[in-house]
Amino acid sequence: MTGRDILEALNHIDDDMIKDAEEYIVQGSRPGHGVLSRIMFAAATIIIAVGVCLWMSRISSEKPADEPERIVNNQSESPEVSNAIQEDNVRGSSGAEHENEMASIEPNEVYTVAEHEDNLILFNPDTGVVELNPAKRIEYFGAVVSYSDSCSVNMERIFSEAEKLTASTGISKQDIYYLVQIEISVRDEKQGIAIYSAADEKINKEEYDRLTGECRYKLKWLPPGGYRIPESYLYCLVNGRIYGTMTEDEIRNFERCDKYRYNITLISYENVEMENWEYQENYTELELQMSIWHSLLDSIVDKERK
Amino acid sequence: MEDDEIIALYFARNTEAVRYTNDKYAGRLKALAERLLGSKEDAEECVNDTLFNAWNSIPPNKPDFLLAYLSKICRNLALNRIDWNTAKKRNAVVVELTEEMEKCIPDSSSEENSAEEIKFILNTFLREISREKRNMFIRRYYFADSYKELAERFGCSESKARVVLFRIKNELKKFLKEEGIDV
Repeated sequence: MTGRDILEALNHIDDDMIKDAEEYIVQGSRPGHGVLSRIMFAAATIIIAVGVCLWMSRISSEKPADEPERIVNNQSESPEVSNAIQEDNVRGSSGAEHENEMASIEPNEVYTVAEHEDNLILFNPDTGVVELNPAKRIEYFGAVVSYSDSCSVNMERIFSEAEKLTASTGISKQDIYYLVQIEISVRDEKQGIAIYSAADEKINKEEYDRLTGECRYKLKWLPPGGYRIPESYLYCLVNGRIYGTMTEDEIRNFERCDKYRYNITLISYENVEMENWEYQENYTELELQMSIWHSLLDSIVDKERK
Repeated sequence: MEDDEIIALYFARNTEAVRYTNDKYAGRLKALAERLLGSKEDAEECVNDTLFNAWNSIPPNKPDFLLAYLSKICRNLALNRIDWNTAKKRNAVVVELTEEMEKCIPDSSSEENSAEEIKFILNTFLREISREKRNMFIRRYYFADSYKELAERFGCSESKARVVLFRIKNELKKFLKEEGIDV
């Protein structure tokens, strides 16, 4: 039997199923309103990203070096930090198992991607080069990142390059997906690992809840020992988002830097099958992304070993 | 006008039945045909043929769901027309849908399966999966909805729709194998 046979055989499915599919619309969704929701999503992420940027620059300018624990403990120094590390916002602070899990997490990366119609656009903030590659669009189950370069990025430049991208391609800002979150992890001897999101609940309570949930989820997913991926490799891109984690050293470096910088390297992988990934009906969108993220990492590692 | 009233007009051999059918369903049928055929002119012709076929087949047929009945005629006509057109060029949408399907259901023509058997198996499979999954599958592979349209209808991202469909196709492949279908 061929795929075409199945397409034709679908003409013989029962009428009631066709009728149901014809009439079925998920409550809350309305065909034709996708553009609006996308714009709203983009606007929300921009707001969060701006918040992240401001928050980080505030930390950079206000804190002395070599005291990473103060991010957790010194709440009077920065109102934004204080908000973020209030009791409800601190995640995974209870114990050694989290310490083990976090011990080998690699530094991560920040960059910006845009999706425009069927094209995936990556741009190199250092060179301003825009990579428009419709044939190599990232697929969840056939991960492809067709771009290879190494560059440094900081948040301010992300925004300035986003402007360039808008100007050079004509893509509206609403079509540019910005980095929406940077997680900060701090090893604190007394509290274990504290993880909180840079997003402030004052910006968007719902988004904030999602992000902190994501932090928790990420911790839960990381196996002891973490993932053994060559450090220069791009970890993952899911739905235009990069998920990053800072190690203790990263925090220290961050404290010393005027600007937030990470090195990134994108690599080319094609047709990475996520063999072990299992879709769960009850996944939230976020959990779905995270599960794919981890499975994709596994697949890349497996491929590398082979 | 309700479907049963329209069908009653067909049974009364009242040509108003065709007009009411056209008013109520032509838009959706045309959209379906146009997705498959990629041509407005061909789609319009396909819809006209669908109405003509409906007029000729009702009675004796008495569909429970008129749109489902019409859409099957329309889809069948469209696929036949694609085959006819294939001599000239490949149809992009059907090629895309077929290729998607064949990522999970590769071409394996070593054994012919009867239409009745395939129909039974497909119906069984579609009734076993969840309603949302089933509808997404049918919207994509019966109505040829784009991923963007799926995302809007199902209130999810396009990516999630791709993932869900990918999983369904794998489940279908497994199901077909279990049923002894050579895939």
